[in-house]
Amino acid sequence: MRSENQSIEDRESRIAILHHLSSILKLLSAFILLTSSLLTSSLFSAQQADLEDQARQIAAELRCPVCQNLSAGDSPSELAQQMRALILQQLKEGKSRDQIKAYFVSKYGDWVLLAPPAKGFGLLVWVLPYVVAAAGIVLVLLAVRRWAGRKERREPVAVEPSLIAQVKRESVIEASPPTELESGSPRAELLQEQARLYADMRELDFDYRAGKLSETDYQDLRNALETEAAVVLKKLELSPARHAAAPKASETRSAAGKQTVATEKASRPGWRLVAGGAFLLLFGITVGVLLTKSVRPRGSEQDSMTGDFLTGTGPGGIGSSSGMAGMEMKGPLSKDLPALLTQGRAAYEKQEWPKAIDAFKNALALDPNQPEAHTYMGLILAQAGHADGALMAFDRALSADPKFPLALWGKGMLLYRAKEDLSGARDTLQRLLQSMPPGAEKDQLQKTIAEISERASRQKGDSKKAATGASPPLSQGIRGTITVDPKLKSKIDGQLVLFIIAYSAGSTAGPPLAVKKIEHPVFPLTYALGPESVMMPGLSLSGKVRVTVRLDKDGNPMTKEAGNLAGEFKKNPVAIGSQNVDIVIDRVL
Amino acid sequence: MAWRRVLITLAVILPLIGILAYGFMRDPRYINSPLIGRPATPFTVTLFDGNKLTLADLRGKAVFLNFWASWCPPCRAEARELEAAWQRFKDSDVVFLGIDIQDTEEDARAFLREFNITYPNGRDLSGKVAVDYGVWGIPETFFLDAQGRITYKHVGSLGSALIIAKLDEARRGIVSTKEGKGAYSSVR
Amino acid sequence: MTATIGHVSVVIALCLALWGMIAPIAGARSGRPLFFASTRAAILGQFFFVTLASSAMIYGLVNTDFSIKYVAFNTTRATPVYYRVTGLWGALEGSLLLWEWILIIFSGLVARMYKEKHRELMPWVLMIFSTVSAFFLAVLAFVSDPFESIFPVPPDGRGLNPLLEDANMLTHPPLLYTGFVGLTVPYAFAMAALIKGKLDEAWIITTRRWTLTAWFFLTMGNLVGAWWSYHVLGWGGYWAWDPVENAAFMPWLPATAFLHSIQVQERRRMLKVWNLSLIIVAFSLTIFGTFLTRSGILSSIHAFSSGPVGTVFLGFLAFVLLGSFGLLAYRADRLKGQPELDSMVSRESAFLLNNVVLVSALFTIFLGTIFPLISEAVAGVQVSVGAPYFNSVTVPLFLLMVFLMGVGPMIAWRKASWDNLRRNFLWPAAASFFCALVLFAWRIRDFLPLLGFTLLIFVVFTILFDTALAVRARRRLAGEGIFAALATLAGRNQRRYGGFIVHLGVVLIIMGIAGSMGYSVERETTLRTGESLSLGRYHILFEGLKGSQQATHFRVEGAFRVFNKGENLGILSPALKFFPTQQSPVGRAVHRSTITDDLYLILSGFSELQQNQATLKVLLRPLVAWMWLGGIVIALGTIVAVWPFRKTAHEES
Repeated sequence: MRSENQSIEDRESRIAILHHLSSILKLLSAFILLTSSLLTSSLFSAQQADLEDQARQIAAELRCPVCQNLSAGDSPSELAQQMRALILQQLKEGKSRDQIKAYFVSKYGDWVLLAPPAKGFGLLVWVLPYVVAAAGIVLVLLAVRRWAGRKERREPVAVEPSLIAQVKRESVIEASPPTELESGSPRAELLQEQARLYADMRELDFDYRAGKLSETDYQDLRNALETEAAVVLKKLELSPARHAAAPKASETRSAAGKQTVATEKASRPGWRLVAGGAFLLLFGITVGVLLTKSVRPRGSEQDSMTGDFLTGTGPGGIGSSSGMAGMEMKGPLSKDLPALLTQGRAAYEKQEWPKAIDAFKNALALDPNQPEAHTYMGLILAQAGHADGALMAFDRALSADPKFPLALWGKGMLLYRAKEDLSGARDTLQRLLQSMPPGAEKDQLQKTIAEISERASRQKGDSKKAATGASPPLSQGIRGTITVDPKLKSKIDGQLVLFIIAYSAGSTAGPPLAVKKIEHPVFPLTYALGPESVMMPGLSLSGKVRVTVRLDKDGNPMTKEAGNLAGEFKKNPVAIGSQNVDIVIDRVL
Repeated sequence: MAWRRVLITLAVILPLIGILAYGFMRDPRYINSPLIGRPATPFTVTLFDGNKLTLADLRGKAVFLNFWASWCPPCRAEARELEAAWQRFKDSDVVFLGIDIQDTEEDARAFLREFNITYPNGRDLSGKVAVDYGVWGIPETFFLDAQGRITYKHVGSLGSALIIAKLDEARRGIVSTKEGKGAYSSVR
Repeated sequence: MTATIGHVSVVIALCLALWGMIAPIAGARSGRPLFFASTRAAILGQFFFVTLASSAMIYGLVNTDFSIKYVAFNTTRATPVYYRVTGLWGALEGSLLLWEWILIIFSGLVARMYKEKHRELMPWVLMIFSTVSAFFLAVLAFVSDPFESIFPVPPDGRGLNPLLEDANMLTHPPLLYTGFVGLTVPYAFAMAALIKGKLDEAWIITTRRWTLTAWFFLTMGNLVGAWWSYHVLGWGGYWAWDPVENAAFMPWLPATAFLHSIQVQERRRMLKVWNLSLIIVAFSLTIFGTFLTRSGILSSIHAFSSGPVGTVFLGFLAFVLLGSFGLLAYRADRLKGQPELDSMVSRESAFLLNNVVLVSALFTIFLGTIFPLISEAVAGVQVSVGAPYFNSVTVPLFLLMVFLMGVGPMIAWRKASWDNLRRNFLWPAAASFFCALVLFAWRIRDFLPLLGFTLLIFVVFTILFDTALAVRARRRLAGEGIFAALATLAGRNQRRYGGFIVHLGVVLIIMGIAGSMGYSVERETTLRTGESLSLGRYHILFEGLKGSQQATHFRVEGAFRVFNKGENLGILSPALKFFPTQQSPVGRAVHRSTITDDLYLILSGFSELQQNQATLKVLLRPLVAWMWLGGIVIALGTIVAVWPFRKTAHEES
């Protein structure tokens, strides 16, 4: 009895549900019909339609029975023309749009309607898209809420402040991604993740500077990214590079033992590459870190190297905010060079670039050869992605103080990581090495240099495949240093342009083979003249050339004016591929 | 777990493939007529001999209504069969009527002469009659019973056997459930 | 001889493809690396032989070797040489050969480029390529052989379908096929990753650029197709929601969705299954499109004649769908992550919504396209699903998409606060609201068009505003001029700014569609010589008919002098061409394009030549030219996004 009752209840409730469902469905279909008719009518109709326009609208909703998939309105076929005429005639007889459509349906069936009637089975095609879209949106919102909640519930990760500091330092300089790594090793993935996070940070920094984020939002997002990057760094520390040399995790996972052997055999050169690349990167990073710590102030009075290298916290301390306010107002310019430098460093540390730039510019106004100011300008430029400008700033700093460690480090790392000029990076870092006191830092630097050399030699091997690096392979160019005769130094002033011109050794007249233009040169200048400087397509740098240089004022390599300074390689002609083609500018034209 | 996912995958993909495979079983250009079993729409046409003919006047007789055009090869193919059938039925309670559509008068007359067609033929100038009968591919033939109801429709050329069978059904008022299909030309 | 070379090449290539399918499996079983290495050789071998076969076909076509049936059916002695070459894709068999050729070119490029990279994946990637290639080669060898000979050799060929004798046919099918085939690359990588169970992000980063390239070709193929439809088919429209057009458009939607959601995966390591599904769906849709075009199960203007090819393609489609999704289901456990988001309002969410919208649009179009089949199979009712349906159902979805296009790229990653929204959208929103008022005051009173144009303007403003902020920052930071700043910005974030430009192109295209759909006017009248009609600012005077016998057809053209507000613009001559092989005349419409609107003239009929009486259909369609302009802008944007400008960024090129 009871169960029967229950089943009846069940059935009743089921029927009720069905009833509800069907009424909901009806409502839904009514709504859809309404909206769709609203849409079609408002989108595709003129307001005051005369009979002809009405006829066209009706014809546009009918399918031409002859041609494929065109409406009777669009079809050029005879039957469609006749249909249009019929529609017009029926309109003139006073028939309504629905009556006319019903007439055609009675002749050709529902087939003739280009939009299926929203009844019976045809309702599906009208309802389903909205159902799917709505369900999709609801699902996504639910999923997003769940995923966001997951993050909220999770305990915040504790990271060591030192790692955060490292992240802050490293994220600043743009490095080319670790591409030579074989994908798949956990370590390579971590490195890629790291590079990506750093790129995100730089993008965030830029957005902040562009004014797209408020201070608090910026700090929030930056902290989140830094924490994530620190976690990655921690993982990287825990998986030293030699792990990458071991068989990859995915392989040990793979079920077929034989296969493991096979792939390992096949991929031996691959994992060497991975290991090598991982080493290189690891060393790049550790050397960066250690260098930062190693470059300590050497003389207490000399404030050129105060403080922790990039973070800028040093004996000078962080400049007071009141001082900074004064700077912004461009009020009474502080005549105090050390104070300016301190302010600049402080602003740099806070990533308040405009303030930092102002401070260092002012410092340079007081002392145009202040190496530290030049160096910091270079670091700022490097972050802004101006590798060339940064390089110039480092060179200026070095021309004032050829052994200025921060500038050497900045230039070396820039050449290595951004410009991929391996030999240049090696040379620069070796100069830094010479002036460094012995210690752990020095060892690290040596390792970096070794690593750069290794990469350089490998790249030389690859150079057949692609000459993509900034430095042309030696075989296709020449290289050397350009200096100015001390007697002529006083004549260098103003907006100068340096031309390095190579004439084919055989010809005495005619256009040069290759010309390289360097604006605002800083001497001594290391140069490389490669195939990219060749004047005319089709010519190639080969054989022997005569190399001359000229310091010009008007920027036109063809004209020689009085007052221009010139020089040439003493042992002209020189074979392409030579190194140390050193030139002294020693003539006045 | 994996099995459930595989089953769901199958449950989605197989019906889809089935639907697509079903597509091979039909001709997408073919339009099923809703007219079979319905009263034929009345019309009046001017015959080639100048007289007017009204369909309503033919009540009480079975009607063989054929849409054609001179440029349509299947129409040419069936023309002789039609005339032969007419010769066979012309003395009974059956009327043959040809409607020429989308044609020039000159071509149509030439066609009639060529095949010695003697049953009445008229021209549908505006296309109204053709649309009234849902014509889309010619020749298209309708069989009407004595009450003016459409008992059978055939798209494409007819053979005499089918004409005889279906006319017989029309005279007895038997409505076919399916329409016939043969080689046709699409109207233009 | 040519035929024999072609046929034998196809068969040899097929053998190589079969070997390429088996070799990695053999390698995995036996453990001999030689097997893996041989997959590359198999691909290169196929490349050689398919190129040989295609060259043989082109040679046959150019030299009108009528002993080959395909040549006899698709060229004549009178056909100019470039149309003989386009005959390669003028009909079913040749187009399959072209498809296979493009496919094997892509495979060869992939095999060449990733010699060192993806060492573990490559044999399997190449196996997938070989599998797809083997299918096409088998079709070419056994089902629809382009090198089938004909005897007796006819004295002259039959010639191309007259509609295909158009300059755009030089570009449209190859572009579209390149787009279709390009999607095989991410698919092959995805399948290889699933087979190997190596499901990290590396391969996705590699295929990103390939996908974008394929996407670009797909976009261009569709646009050029629309352009062809617009100026050759002569009905005044560019898109009829024809099943084959839909089939070409559908892969574009998941590909677009993928290009967006991949950014979420790159940053947050989530949506792995979703992205894989998008790739599989996109690739399957290319096969589905081929199936639809070549099976004739749905009526279409573009369909090739039907034959046994359809069933074979259906089988392959089933194989691809079942295999891919089966594999995905099998590997799903490894793909499970613990996705996390910082906030509900973020760029991640915007991209997810964008995916929902695009996939819903895909679902809608797919359902609409095959609904006649479903309806007939299930309910036994014949229905048609055409433009009115698609227009009314997809318009809200596309409006939503446009809105997200404005919001998505600007909203902050991870977490967007009110402050962030205010900073990025207040000004663009205010400006577009102002524009909406202006539009309303001017002319546009209906709700949906007003909303549509406002949203489009909003997208433009957000892009301009964002770029302006960035330029200002660069000026402050590095003291660059505006153009230098723009160049640096684009150089440093190619994907972002390339994406912006592509978005602007899409805005232009949608503007063109909205304008030409919503504000078209047309007149159809019968005119006698000397009579005229007016439409908008144009006045059209009928000056008479002219008939002439052309090489392949008889041509009747009307001379219509067009005046723009009284200014004589010269004569436009729409024509009707009567081909002896075709029942109905082929219209040759003419149009006069300006940046604001197109005047489009169709000669829909004439009474008798002598009477000089013509029926003329005139359409005035606003903003059509913007669509083609949008295509150029998209091309520009894609180049900015993809081109390896920076030498150091030689990761994939």
